[in-house]
This record gives sequence, C-alpha cells and structure tokens, in this order.
Amino acid sequence: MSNKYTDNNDKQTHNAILQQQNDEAFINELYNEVSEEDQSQPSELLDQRIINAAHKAIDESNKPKKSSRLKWYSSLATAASLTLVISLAVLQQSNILPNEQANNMLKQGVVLQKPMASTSDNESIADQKVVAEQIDYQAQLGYSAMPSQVENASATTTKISNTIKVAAERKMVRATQYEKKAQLSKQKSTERMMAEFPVFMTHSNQIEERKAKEEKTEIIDLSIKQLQQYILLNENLNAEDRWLWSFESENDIEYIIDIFRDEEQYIQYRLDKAIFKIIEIPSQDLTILPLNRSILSKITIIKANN
Amino acid sequence: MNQVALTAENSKESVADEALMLAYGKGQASAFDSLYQRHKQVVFRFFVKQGLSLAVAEELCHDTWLKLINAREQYQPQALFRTYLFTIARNTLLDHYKKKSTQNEVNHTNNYTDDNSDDEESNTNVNHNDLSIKIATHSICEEQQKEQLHLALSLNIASLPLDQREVFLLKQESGFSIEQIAQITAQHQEKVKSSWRYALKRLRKGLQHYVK
Repeated sequence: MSNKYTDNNDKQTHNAILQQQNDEAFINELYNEVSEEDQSQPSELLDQRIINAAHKAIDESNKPKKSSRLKWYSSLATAASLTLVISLAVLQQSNILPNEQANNMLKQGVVLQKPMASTSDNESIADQKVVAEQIDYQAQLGYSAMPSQVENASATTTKISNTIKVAAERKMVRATQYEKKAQLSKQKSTERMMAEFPVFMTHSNQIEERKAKEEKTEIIDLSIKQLQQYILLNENLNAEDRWLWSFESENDIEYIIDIFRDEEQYIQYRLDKAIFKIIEIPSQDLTILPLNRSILSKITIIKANN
Repeated sequence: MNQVALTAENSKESVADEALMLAYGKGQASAFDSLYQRHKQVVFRFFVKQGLSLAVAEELCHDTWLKLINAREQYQPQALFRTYLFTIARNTLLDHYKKKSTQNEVNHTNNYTDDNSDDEESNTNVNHNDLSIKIATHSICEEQQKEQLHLALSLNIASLPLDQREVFLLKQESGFSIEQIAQITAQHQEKVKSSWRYALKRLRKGLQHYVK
C-alpha cells in the first residue's frame, strides 16, 4: 500500500514538474514571438530628466561643501565683529579712559574721606567700607577694561583703598575699646553708688527699729520740707525733692551737713543743736570709720524733743 | 532566449554595476550614465508590463531612479545591483498602488464617479471576457495576429494578481532567479515558487488559443 502511495505521489510530483515545464515553454514561446515587436523603451525626455537629476545631485553634493566653508567664515567674521562692537560699546558706556579714570578715582577717594571726620564712628566706618568697596570695584573695572594703560591708576586706588580700610579697622577697634571702658566705669560707679550713697528711703526700716529702741526720741526722715523747717541757713533748696546728705562736722551750737544735688555738687547746711540731734548709728567699726560721706548711711538726724 | 541572454549579460556586468554605483556614490556622475543605459529598459518594461499606462510607467520609472540617486551614498554592495534596483522599483510600485487605493477610497466615499476617465490603469482590472472581446475585434491577418498575441499577453499579465504578476515579471522579463525574487519581494522562496506556478497556469489558460 505504502509503495502505491509513494508511487502516486512521485507521479503527481513528476506530472506537476512536467506541467510547469510545459507552461514555461509555452510562455517562453509566446515571449519569443512577441519580443521582436516589444522593444518599448522610456522616452528620451525621461532619459534626459533622470540623467540631469543624477548630475544635479552630484553637483549639489559638491556645492554644500563650498557653502559650508563660506558659512563658517561668514559666521566667524560676524562673531568677531559683534564682539568688537559690543566691547567698544561697553567701554564707551563705562566712559573709562585710563588717565581720567585714575584722576576720578583719586578725587573720589579724597572727597569721600572728608565726611568721615564729621560723621559718628559707626557711620564713618560704614562709609569707609562702602568707599573701599567702590574704589576696589572701580579699580577692577578699570583693570579689566584696559590693563596696560590703567595699571598706575589702579595701583594708586588700591593703595588708597587699603589705607582707608586700615583706618576704618583701627577706628573700629578704638570704638570697641572705648565702649568697653565706658561699660566698666559705669558698672564701677553703680557699684560704688550702691555702696556709698544709699537712698534715704532704703533706711526707713532701720530708723523704725531705732525708734522702737529709743522711746523718747522721734526719728525724722530727712525730706526737703523737714529740712526747711530746721535749717538755719536755707539756700536754694528745692522743697519737692529728696536729697542725700552727709555729716560734715559739728561745734557747740550746730551741726554742719552737706546736701547733695548730684554726685559732684553739694551745699552745706548748719543745723541748730537746740533743735536737731544727729546720732551716730552704733557700729562695730565706728572707731575705725572716719566721719565722712562713706558712713552717711550710718548717721541719722533726730529731732530733739526739747 | 530572452531570459538566458539577460542572465548572461548580468553575470558579466554584475561586478561592474556595483563598482559603477559605488563610483557614482563618490561623486562620479558619468558612472550613473552607464548604469542607466544598462538598466533603463528593464526597469521601464517592469512597470509597463504591470498594465500601467506609459505615462504612469515613466513616472514610476523616474521615481525609482530618483530614489536610487538619493540613496547613492548609503549604497553598500551586499547584493547584486539589479536586486537593489528592482527592490526600489517594486517599492515604488507598491507605493503607487497604495496611493491609488487611497484615492479610490476617497472617491468612493465622495460618490465620485468619472465615466469618461481616461485612466489606462483601469485595464488592470479587466477580466478574461473583456480580453476575448477586445482580441476578437482585431483582424485575422498575420501581422495583426502577432499584435493580437502581444496585446493578449499584456492583458493577461496585467490581469494577474499583484503577487503573481510581480513574480512573473521579475522572472520572465527581468531574468531574476527565484532566490533573487524572494530577496527583492522579501518573501519566502516557496511562496515565490507558488506564485510563479500559479501565474504560469493562469497565463497558459488565458493564452492557449493564441498558440499555433
């Protein structure tokens, strides 16, 4: 069976091949008959168009190289000319000519230094810094604009700016030192005041304690009104203020005290012993202490009962 | 035989073709002249035998050669120059059919019909009945018989389906082998063989009355 099938397949294949060969022969025969007549060709016009296009393409492919070179040169020339024009315009705008620039900067240095003497320290320092920066900037500009010609001017301005900077720094240091000193002195004076010149009102508690001890005596706060009543020689006392006072000396008739208007100014007053009695507050170091303003807080004025 | 003669010529000129194309790619314009003279007729007939009018065939021919001109610098001799050329020609033809079908679709949607259209490509859709009618109108004298046969052959080729027609023309007219046709059409060799067989059968059936 299988042999029969294979034989049939072979026959079919063989027949198909034969058929195809016949067909090919048939078509070839037809083509041979027709080929003599069939000599169709493209028109000369088409030939010319295509050949022209081919030649033109080659010409164009050669042309762009030339044009690209031209473009390169032209673009370079344009860039160079633009750079030149822009640089000239910038120079003209800044209006910096070498000699003029140096003179201008020197003038500016002198003119700007003057107001520093008249202004306060901080303002002058700020001004100096600004001036120094301006001069530095102008010096840099001048150098970048025309290095060879502005060299001298820029050197001068650099010196000026350096001098100004140094002066400003010195002033700054001095101001800082002065400020520190002022703070220290203020602190010391405050401490001394607190130690040596307490306000009367702060001693009211002490007076009250003494009042309790000395039943027969009357403790009086030394106010201006009270002083006016008891002072023998009343000179320029302002009745509305409270004053610091200190014991100065005494004799048989009167006490002599100092009334302080401020730290430096004081006026002496005499108190009649018939009316006033100044009692020293007992203290352990009384023998050592001199009778002066330093022991002011330890003395009180007591109105005599008699 | 025409096919045999073409193949022999090709074997002699194949190397020269590639060299000429390379020379043209490097800017030697005269090399193109030689190439064009060698292959202009084959390319032109490839288009004419598709059943296209001479005007359309010339236009497609022009497009094909222009594409070759534009691709001159990218050309690399990996295959025969003729294979390269006919690949371009086939693509040009397919582009033409695509454009044509798009136009037909647009015309159809617009219900546009032109009864007096002088487009000779309408002949491609002619069937065997039309062929027999046209051929029957010719006189019977001997000179006219050849002319009649030529017309019948052209019409029958034009009436082939596109895949069979292009395989037939590439093999019969341009002398390409099945392998080369497979390369040009980017198809499998068996598919090309099949198209070739069907084309032969169909042509023989349509033309058997004209063979003595």
